[in-house]
Amino acid sequence: MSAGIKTLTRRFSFTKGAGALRGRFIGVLVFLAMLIVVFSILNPRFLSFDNGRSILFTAAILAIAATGQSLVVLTGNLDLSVGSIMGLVAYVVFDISGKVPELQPFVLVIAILIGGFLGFLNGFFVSVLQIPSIVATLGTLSIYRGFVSFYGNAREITSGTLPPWMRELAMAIWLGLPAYVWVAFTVVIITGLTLRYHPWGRKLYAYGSNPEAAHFYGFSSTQIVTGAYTGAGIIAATGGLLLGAQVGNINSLLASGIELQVLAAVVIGGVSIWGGSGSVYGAAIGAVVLATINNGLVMVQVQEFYRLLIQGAAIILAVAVDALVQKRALGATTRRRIMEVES
Amino acid sequence: MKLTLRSWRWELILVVLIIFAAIWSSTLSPYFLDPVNLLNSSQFFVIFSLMAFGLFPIVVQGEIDISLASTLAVGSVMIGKLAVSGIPMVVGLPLTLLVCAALGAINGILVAVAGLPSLVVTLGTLGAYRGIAFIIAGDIGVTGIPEEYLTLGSARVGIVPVSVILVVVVAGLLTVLMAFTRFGRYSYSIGSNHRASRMAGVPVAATRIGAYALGGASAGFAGLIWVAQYQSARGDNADGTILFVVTAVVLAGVSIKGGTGHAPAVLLAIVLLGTLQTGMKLANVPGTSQTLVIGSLLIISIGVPRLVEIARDKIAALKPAQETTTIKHVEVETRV
Amino acid sequence: MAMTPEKRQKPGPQAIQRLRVTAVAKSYEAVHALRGVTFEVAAGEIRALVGENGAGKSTLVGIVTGLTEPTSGTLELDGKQVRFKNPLGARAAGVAAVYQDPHLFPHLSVAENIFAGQYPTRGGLLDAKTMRTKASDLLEHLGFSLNPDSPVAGLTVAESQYVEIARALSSDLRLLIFDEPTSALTPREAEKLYAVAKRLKSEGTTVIWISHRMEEVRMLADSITVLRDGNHVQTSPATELDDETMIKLMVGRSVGLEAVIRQEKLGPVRLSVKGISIPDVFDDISFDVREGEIVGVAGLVGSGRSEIARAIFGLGSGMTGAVEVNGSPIVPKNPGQMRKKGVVYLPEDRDSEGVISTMSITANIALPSTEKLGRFGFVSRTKERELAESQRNALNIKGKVRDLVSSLSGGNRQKVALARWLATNPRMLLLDEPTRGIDVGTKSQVHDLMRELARRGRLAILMISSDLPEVLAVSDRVLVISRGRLTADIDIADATQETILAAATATQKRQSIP
Repeated sequence: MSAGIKTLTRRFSFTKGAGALRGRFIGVLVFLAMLIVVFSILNPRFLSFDNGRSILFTAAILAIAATGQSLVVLTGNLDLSVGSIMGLVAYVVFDISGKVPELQPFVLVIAILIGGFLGFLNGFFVSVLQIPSIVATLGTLSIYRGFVSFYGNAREITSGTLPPWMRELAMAIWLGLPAYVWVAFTVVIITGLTLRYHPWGRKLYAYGSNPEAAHFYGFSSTQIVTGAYTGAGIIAATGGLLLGAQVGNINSLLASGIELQVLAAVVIGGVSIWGGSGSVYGAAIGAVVLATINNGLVMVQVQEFYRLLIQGAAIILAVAVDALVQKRALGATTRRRIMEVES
Repeated sequence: MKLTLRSWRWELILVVLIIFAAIWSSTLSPYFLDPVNLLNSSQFFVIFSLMAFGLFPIVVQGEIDISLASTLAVGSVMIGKLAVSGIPMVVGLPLTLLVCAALGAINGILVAVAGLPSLVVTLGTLGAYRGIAFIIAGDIGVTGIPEEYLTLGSARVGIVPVSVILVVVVAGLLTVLMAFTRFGRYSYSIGSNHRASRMAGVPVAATRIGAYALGGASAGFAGLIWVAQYQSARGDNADGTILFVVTAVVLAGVSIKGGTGHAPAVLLAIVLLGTLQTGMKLANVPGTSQTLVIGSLLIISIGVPRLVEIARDKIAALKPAQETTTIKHVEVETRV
Repeated sequence: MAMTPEKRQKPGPQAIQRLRVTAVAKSYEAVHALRGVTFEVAAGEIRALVGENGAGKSTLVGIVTGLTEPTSGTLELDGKQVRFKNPLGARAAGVAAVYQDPHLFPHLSVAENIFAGQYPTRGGLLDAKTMRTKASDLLEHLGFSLNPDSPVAGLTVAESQYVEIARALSSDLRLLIFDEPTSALTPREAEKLYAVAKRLKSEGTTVIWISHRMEEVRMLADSITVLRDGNHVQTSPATELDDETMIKLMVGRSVGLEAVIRQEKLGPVRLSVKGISIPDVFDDISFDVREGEIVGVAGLVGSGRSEIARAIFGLGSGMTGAVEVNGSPIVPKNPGQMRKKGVVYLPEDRDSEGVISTMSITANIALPSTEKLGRFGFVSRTKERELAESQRNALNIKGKVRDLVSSLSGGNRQKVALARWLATNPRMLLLDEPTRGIDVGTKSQVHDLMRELARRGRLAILMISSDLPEVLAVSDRVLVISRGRLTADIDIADATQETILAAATATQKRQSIP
């Protein structure tokens, strides 16, 4: 095979080298398209504009949470506390704003500060104390959640005390789409652009892609990992605020259990669990895929119980595909590892 | 092998902490130390003990399984359904254990053969198996369970509940398994260095799958206890309890990276956590605050030793560099 | 690429040398990797650095590029004394190296890799356009046609090296070291690198080129430095050093390893491989090893010897060809299976694959024999300890069997690695660099042990070694592997260091193993 044809097939191949990585993003889109087709066939009402809007609305907050989680997953770690951060921020911030109405215009700022701090703590545990991220965020999941009831004493926050502008936002519709969708869109784009065009974003990907090389080039892993967790905390806080405003009556269990969905969205969206690969845009699409599956299952009148089963299976499938993709993509540069002992 | 004082160091610390916790709890309520009450409260923790025992070999091998609570639910609802269909326990129990072991084995195959990271796999099966539990149980779950299946919930030997005795027996069996069998040897070596283990001819994949299957089976057995204690089974049984179980294993001094850990310490860790939790209940601490404490314990139990290590390294780095080669004779089975 | 005034200098006796290495030494435990090496390289010179495996070349490169610190000695760069704390510091000073396994970020683009850590920015954000153009210019300047936007993941090994070189050039480069750069390249790709070296030279950058290929060294180098056993042997202009002399200097004579002539007769064939191959790794390898025989396997690092042994032990995938143990054919699938057949393998990487350092001597020695140390799946601790004690005594391992392997010296760790296999009563030993990093005293102990095992114990031994004197002292027969092929099968009587080295660098059929 002449060199020219070889390069061509490599460039356009979706199963080898860089093409494999590109192929995965397209794969998610194709998967989404397939889902839409299948559900539409099973129930034509699925394909209505109203339904589509409903799906996007459900996906919005999940997409925001998934965007934050992506930052952490890109470094090769996990954040299981995302739901607790969301719940804590929503509860505390809205409680404060209810008691001190002067602060109502600033709820977003307060939320970001709190969320950033919580995320920073996560980063500290993982990168400075070197606690494996599973354990660390499993711990903070319950610490942050526990703090809510400690703070609030099981009191519920009623929608009456929420800042009116946030309640309006939850119900507003801009240019035909719910305001939340636009907000999510903005968050995703901003994060995506930062990762692409800010040196820190490139460092993040570099570290996730090859931590040893990153060390070799003097990248501070502490800085990168802590930064990722802090960013995730800030973004989760934003999502928490939106969720709280949508739900109206907030108790200490808000957003508990959302971790599984967020991770599913991230993984399905093509963000590699091994780090360094994937994009927030993919994660957002993953959120849409999940919302589509949930909505579709309801439309097709499948029991809610199957949803958990499908979500779980989807995660495993997505990771398996990811493993394959990574193996094929990295084939050339890891030639030396041919005799890797398998275990 | 001499069992020196040093190798039981972690257990000693746990025992001391248990004593402190017991003292604290008894100051909160005079009823705490009443033997009948104690044994009644301890029944509550039987389920967690069994799951922790099942998790132990997996963590020793350097992996994790957070789907055990979901496997428990599958076990409990399956037993419930089998029970109300009139199937005798002598058939129902082994069948359930087999199914739960199979669920565990699926985790094991995905990890050991497909090479997928265990956290994500079991995160996926956590959801998937929970879904299966719901599907089997239906909306309302299972009630009206025949007497035969409920014996373990209430049977006693004197004042001691049988289930508590069971826990002690299983703890003993686990200790024997990990300290005196081939499986135990292979597990520790895989957790220490799976590559070198494979080089040495250790059947890594099979041992891994075995550990996961064992974990699944113990979760299934915990499901039986659940049914026996609560006389019902629902799809959401044990939801969220995995934190407690993981905390217990970590608190027992088992390194999450694998290769170390003493089975008896797991039992002690559960006793410690149980004492603390019972005390908190007596002090009317709300449920989620209890989890706050547990979560903090998890982080502290790993974080503090690390902080000490970091401090020690920083101090050592300040001293002038010397070329010393000291050969240390260190005892076997050192912890993290 | 700005050229600072000091870069281009007129060569002459008064000129400041680009790099001066003075009495640089490095030792690890009892092993002396470098013993007081002194030489200098001028600006704009291409210096070839040659020596066999273990001569100290990689250690020297590590010190010059800031990877490790020397035990003693000094470095001077353009007249100023320097001490690098890490590769980053070295790079900042203009010293970099290109390895075969480059440290790249597979998921990032070529341009992003080249400028990693020093991204051009505009207003705080990445200036992607400038980065792309600069990267293109750099690559063009070097003669590489790479798309700066393509992810590194899909690049070939050669292309990865181009990126690494471009990366080195993106800062002000004074000295570039190439460490065995062309061993995995096709001739055309190699030509590209030669052109780069020449271009760098013309721009005043000093190039140190490490290679085993005589023709390459001949073509490129202005001068040649020969290292041997951690010592600097000679530095001469290329014109004054012919191939024969060069090899003689590289090879020399080492202390203390004497051959002991074998008296015993050889037994039946224990291991027979016929035409085994793994695509792109090794090709058409055939040899026999008989009971009582020690067969040495020589060759350059990366020639595929370890891969062959590992494949025989069941650790390879996709191997074709026939393997016979004790006359019966077998398809090696995993180590456990081969161990049961009596074939065992001692890996090259002792500390991460040969022993489990966090476990005790007993645990390590007993591990492969676990099945036999108890019944019904149980394991008797007493039997484990007895086994460990007997091996400890037999091999003279210094330490209590309860001690952790990590507390042992390299030599004793190797003994543990060996002991755990000997405890299984093997019939065939595959040893991969058995005495690497071990002091001379223990080395000869191990050699004696090997002879004892082969001649008295009737084992068959295959020993891979990059230490030519060792190969000559211990083997009854020598196989030489070069670039994945068997290039020689010589009886010990006919083997000399020169013939072995010649066969190891043989390039008759220039097949590319990409």
